[in-house]
Amino acid sequence: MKLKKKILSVIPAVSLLTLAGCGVSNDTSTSALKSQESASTSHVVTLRYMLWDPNEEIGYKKSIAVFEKLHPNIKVQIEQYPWSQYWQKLQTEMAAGTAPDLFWDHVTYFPTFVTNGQLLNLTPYIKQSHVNLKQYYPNLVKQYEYQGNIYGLPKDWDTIAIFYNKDLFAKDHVAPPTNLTWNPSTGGTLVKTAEQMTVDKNGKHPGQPGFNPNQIVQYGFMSYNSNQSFYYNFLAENGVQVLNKQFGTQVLMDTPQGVQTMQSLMNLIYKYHVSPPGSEGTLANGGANAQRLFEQGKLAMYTDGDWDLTPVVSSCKFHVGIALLPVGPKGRVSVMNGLSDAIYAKTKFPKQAWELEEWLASPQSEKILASGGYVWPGIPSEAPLFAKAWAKKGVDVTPFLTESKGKTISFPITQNWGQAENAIDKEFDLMWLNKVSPQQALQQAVQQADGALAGGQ
Amino acid sequence: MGGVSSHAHVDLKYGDGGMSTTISTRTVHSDKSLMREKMARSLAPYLLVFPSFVGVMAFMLIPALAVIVISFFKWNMLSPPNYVGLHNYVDILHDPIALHSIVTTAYYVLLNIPLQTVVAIMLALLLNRRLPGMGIFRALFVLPWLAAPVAISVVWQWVFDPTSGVFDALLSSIGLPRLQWLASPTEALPAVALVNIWQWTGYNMLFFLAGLQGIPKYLYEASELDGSGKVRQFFSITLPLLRPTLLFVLVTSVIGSFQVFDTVYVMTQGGPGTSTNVYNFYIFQQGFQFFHMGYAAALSVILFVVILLVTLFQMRFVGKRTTYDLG
Repeated sequence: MKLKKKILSVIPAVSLLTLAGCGVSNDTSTSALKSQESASTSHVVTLRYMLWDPNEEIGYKKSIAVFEKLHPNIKVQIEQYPWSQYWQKLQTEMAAGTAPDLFWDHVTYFPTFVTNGQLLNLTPYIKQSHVNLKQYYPNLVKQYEYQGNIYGLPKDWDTIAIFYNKDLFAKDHVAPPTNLTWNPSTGGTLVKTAEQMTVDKNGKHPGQPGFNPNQIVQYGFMSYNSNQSFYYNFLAENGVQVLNKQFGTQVLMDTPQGVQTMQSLMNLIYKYHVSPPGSEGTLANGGANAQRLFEQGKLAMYTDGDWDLTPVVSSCKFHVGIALLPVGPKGRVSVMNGLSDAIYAKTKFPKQAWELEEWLASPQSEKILASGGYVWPGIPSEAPLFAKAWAKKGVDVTPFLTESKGKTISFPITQNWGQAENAIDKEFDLMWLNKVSPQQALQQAVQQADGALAGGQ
Repeated sequence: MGGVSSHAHVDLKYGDGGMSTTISTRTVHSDKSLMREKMARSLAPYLLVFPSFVGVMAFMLIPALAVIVISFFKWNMLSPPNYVGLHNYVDILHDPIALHSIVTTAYYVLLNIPLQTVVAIMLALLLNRRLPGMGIFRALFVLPWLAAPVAISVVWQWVFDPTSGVFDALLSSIGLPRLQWLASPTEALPAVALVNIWQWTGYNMLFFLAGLQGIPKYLYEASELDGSGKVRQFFSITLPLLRPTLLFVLVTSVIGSFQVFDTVYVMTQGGPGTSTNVYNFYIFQQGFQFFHMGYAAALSVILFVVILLVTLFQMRFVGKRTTYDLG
């Protein structure tokens, strides 16, 4: 234990100090650069651009190479940090006044940044440059709107669909899950198909005599504690709203329909035995376990977002199929989320940062990213390029697109959602482990989440 | 911490070489040069301490003071801090998660310390022999402490996996029921403690080994002549004379246990539910995930006070009647 104390107490201080040090040196170097520039005629400016996805980074490098050719006076330096560190890094740099000029923004953190004046209002720039906002999905434009102003142009989006193991379905002679139904009382054809695809050591399926739920070797579907990739979609399909409104402070999941939905998702584990145990689906590892079991061929289908296409397809030794979410009582509903680039309010180069923002949300740049298969473009007319790129790799990704055109819901957007979500996640873990009932879990979760949204700590 | 230990080297002696040069100048302006030499002599220690003083100030004292100041503010790092007086402290008293995390941490310390200390003493006794290859064994037991905690945690996560982990394969192969380990609210904290014990026992063993080797052999010889057995020797000679080591190991390992973070961060993220939500992890969440810096600072101050009290208590009761000089 010894050194731990020292390490833990010293490291944050050291890193804070070095951070501060970096900030200072950056400052002086950029200002030195600036004075140099104003002396020379070329005026070359270096912008820092921060993002978190290493797969998409490759595509963005290609787009930025073109941008730099078109804007010889701007250089762009990409900084990639994984999601788990990204927000700490960004917020600490904001505190030091040295955040990157441009950075990927997410709806979970956007409200905190915008209400604390960290983001540049883009509305005047949009007007000045005559950007056609109608070219984007309207719901994506609205996500980064605050008090009538826009703080980020949509550059991409994602929806949720079923990933399934084509080879396994063919081997077991089960029809591909391309048009499933789901309802909270019987589970619909989702449960039927999942039962057919669940096999125990002796080759028996759930519901057959002699089936042993403790010796399952292949699971049909996965129920796991992930909101966007899993249960938000089912809640929406049963008419349950998560948050009362954008920038709202009331969580509405604890309705009878909410309880019924979560009960049905728990039934997948504890009643129908078509899902890996709840202990595999808890928050800390649920997403990673779903992906791993699927890649190992032990899981026939699960729900996931299109951002996982690249890592999943590249590690599967079988053919991956993508299917629409099952149709629920209120139809088929997917969470649809989009990222935008935000410009740091204190950037020294707002004009150049805007030029980069405009480029990254332009049809030209989105074309580069879509046709490389990196991400769905925020401009609907270019979506076929992304589908074409994946068709070449043998994966039909159009279900994601179909869902984006159907009924969608947004991720909850409000201040301090991070803490509210954390409270819900923890309570739901206990529900997944069958330690508390859905009724209790929802009640507790909503109470704590409301407390967090009301400004508690 | 390097800064603190270097204080020990401040006590330098001035060589004769320096003296002889000053003597030769003294014949010319004896008074002035004497003054100058005195000045230099009294200044030198400060100059030598200065680098580590700066280090201690910059990396320890100033941040620690800053934490105390910040704890009276509401601050999300993005907007200017807001003075709220004792509000954060009052909030903590009404925060069920904070109170629960204190209980969790205390439980964790209790799981860790007794087992870790007893095993470390036993290992030290085993390894305190002159046998061929003993050096290899000693090194092996210290190895876990040398490995990076994050890497260790990732590997143990695989070991603990409830469907494909090594531990469950072992348990079921000898007919024992499977455990859920990190996935169970009751088993997760003991599992985390197990990893920490595995990691730190070898390191603590080193101190006990050094302590054992400092006990004079003649004490054992004398007691043997008096007819005392091994058990009697252990309780009447070894253990009492290991007291200074024991005090040191207990104080430092209790502090370390109260501040457990990295294994929890990697293996459980405080879950399932709040079962491994130890205090330091909660401070991290409040500060760097929810960006309630003032609140996180207030939590840290409370932890500091708790650790201070526990350490004083240990000094009082374990430190009492401790002999440091075995000469």
